[in-house]
Amino acid sequence: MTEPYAYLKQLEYLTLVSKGRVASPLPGSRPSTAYGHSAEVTDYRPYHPGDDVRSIDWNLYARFHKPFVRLRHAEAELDVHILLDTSHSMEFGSPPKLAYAREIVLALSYVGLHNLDRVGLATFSDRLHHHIPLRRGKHQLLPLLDVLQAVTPAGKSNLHRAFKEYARQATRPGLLIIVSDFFAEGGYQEGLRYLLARRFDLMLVHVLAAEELQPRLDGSVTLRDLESPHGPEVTVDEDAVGQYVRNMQAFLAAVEAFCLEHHLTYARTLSGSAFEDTVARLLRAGVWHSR
Amino acid sequence: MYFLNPLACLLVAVLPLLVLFYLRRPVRRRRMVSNLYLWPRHAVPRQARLGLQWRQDRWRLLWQLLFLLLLILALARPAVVRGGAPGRRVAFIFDASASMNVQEDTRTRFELAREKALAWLQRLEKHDRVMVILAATHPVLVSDFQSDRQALRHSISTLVPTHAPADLTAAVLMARLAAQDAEVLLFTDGTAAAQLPAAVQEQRLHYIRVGQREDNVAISRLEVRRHLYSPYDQELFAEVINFSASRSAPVRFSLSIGDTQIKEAVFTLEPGERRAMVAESLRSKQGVVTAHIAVQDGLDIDNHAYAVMPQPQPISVLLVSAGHFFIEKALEVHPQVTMRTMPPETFRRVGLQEAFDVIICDGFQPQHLGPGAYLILNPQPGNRQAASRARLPMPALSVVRPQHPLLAFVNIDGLVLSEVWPLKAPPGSIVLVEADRQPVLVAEEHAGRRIVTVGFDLRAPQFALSVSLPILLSNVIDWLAAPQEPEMTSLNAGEPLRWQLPASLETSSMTITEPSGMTVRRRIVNRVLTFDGTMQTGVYTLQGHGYRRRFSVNLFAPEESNIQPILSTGNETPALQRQDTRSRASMELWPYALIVALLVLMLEWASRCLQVVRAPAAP
Repeated sequence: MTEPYAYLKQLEYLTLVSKGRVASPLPGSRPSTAYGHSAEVTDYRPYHPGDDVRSIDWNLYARFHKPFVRLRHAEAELDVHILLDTSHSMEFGSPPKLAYAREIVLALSYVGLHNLDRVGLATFSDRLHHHIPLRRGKHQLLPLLDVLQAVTPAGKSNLHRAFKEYARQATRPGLLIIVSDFFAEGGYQEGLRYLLARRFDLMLVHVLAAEELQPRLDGSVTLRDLESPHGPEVTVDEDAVGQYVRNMQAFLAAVEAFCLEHHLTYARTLSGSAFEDTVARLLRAGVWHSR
Repeated sequence: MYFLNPLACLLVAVLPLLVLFYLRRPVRRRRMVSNLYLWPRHAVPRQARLGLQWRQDRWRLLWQLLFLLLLILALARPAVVRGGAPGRRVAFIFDASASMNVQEDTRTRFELAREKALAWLQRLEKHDRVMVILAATHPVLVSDFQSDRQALRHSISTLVPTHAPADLTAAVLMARLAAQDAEVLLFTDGTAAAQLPAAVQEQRLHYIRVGQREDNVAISRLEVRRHLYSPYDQELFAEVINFSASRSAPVRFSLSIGDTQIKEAVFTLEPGERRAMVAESLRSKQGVVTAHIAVQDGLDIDNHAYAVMPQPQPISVLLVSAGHFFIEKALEVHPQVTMRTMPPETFRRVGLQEAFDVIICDGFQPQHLGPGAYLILNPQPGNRQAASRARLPMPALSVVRPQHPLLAFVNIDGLVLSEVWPLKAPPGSIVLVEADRQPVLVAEEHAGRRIVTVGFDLRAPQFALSVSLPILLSNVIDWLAAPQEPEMTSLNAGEPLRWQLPASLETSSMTITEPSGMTVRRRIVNRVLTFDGTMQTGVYTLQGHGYRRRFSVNLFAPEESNIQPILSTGNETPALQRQDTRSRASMELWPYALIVALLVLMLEWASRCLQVVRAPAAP
């Protein structure tokens, strides 16, 4: 009998990519911003009383007749924060974007936990909903799965409020992966800037449905927002599709430009894509790499 | 331009419906999307209050309107009058009547006509198109308008005249129907028969006359008829006429039955004189009668005449009577009658065992009268023919219809009998004799039955001892036994044959052998055979399934035998008027309208496809 998540085994050779050094105080396998006892020598300084004499570089002492000690970076754990958009707009698509986003989140969590990173998960729409604290070890998968299975689309997107709330709650920055469609009337830039200000290493996984990129309308249709079922309507026909597609292209270009400007990792996927295609797409985008 | 089916134009009323469909506000479906702010807010204008609006794709509406208009146009079958091939159109009409067989020097009139026609053919211009019509009893289109001179020469050279009169009027009308403005050249001998009614005389009709000869002697009649004084005897009657206006003609006349010559006469006919001859006492003769005159004249066809003397058929008579001496004696003198007698009791007991041509019921009437011929004498009160009144004592008879064949040579007018029984006259019957204004002799023919009813006793001495009894009985027997339709044993040339065949003949077709020996087969419809190929004079034989009859066809047409040209010679080479440089014809345009409609439909479809393709592709 095939296990339901057997495909995750294929991801064990991957590692999540963190662009900067880790600021975590907990020892781990990722390069840290603090000095420590790793094998890699990053700098030298004059010896001061109290320093470990094992760190004195005797070759330099022979050359300069002054003692210098080797400075080494510490290795710390990587904190992987995953934010999953569960607003109503994630219900759109065939299959729904949320179902596809669940698979991506599970894959990211598995890769992180397999590499002994601390992985936490939060879901949001206009605010944070579920929040699983950062933990390491594969036993963390069980609460993650519980949340992912229980989550349902609800609420209207408010990225700024949700990101700001998460930034306040997070004890220290780390790798923050946001899985969302980034459809929010209030925009996404302010919230992302807030997270950047908290020195999060941001990765955006943009989940879209194929119908959103090229909608097909047969005749005149009245459109209604999934997130505002009782809100205003827009009546369009085939001629409006062109304008919509142009607006969508501009929106996607703006997201890419924002990521490029702020050196964010950005990956775009289409719901319903094959799992292998998604892995390859995230690999090309730099979300993870093979060890 | 005009329309052959203008009612289709009513379909234009459908076009406003199509416009209404476009104006109709579409029923919009609701659809949920993940966001609204990327959609253009004013993509569709606000809807009109009446529920009508102009859609964006007006070009498609115009395409579809144009397509429907073209389709309706095609259904209305438009046609235009347009030019045809260049050149004049000339119709050659050949008079194929019997008079065209007149021998002029070394050639017949028809051969002269063909030569003149060929000369005309050479004279016409290259692009002129010629139609050839043979004017026989019915006009025959030999060749439609064409300019192929070789084919036309071949068509003309195959034409032959008939032995029958010709209908030139129908031939001219046929040419006019084919082309109203065509020049018509009528090659004819200009006899009285060739004169056309004024209605068809016109400027574009030109007579090309052939023939000059005028001397002709013809057998104008040859008949087999009953002898005037001996009704059971036959005689032959023939008449010869000299149609020449100026020349007397010595004639040797001979009359033969089969190979036996029964009469010969030599005489001279003055111009316009006619002579009749009769051959009598031909009771036992039968076969083909041939009359021939040996004379030097122009037309040979009418120098021969033919007739068929039919074989007298026996008449079987059943006399149902307790005994009637006078009737039996009167019937015995009829040469064709074979009589059987039967008492009424026997008739009632055994009924009718075999078929009889005539059944005589003397004071007796069967319960049911089937199809057949009946003579009913003294019908009893209560019968169908008998009136309910009592007998009339001492009435005087008065003849109502003296010209009726039943009363031919019967003298009973004013005869006073001791008593009569007045009869009923059924609807459609003919009252022949009355007594005190009551019918006493009635003839009736209805539903396959012929009935003669006599309301007085033929035994009455005032009548039985008179000569009128056998004559009346003979008339009655002949009238009752006569066939429903007399056999047409003699026809004029060109006259169609309509032959009623006996019911006992089980066949669907018969063979007719023409005088030339050629045989043709004709179908029988409702026991009637119709044959219209009597174009040759002579004896025709009709046979099949053991049935064999002969009939004769003769040229008994004075207008054909009188070969004197009465039309003036006129202009032998009339100038043909030049018609429009291009002859005119109607051309239907619906195929073109249909093709354009299909092209418009394809363009409409292509525009729809382009609209779909023009939509921007997904990033």
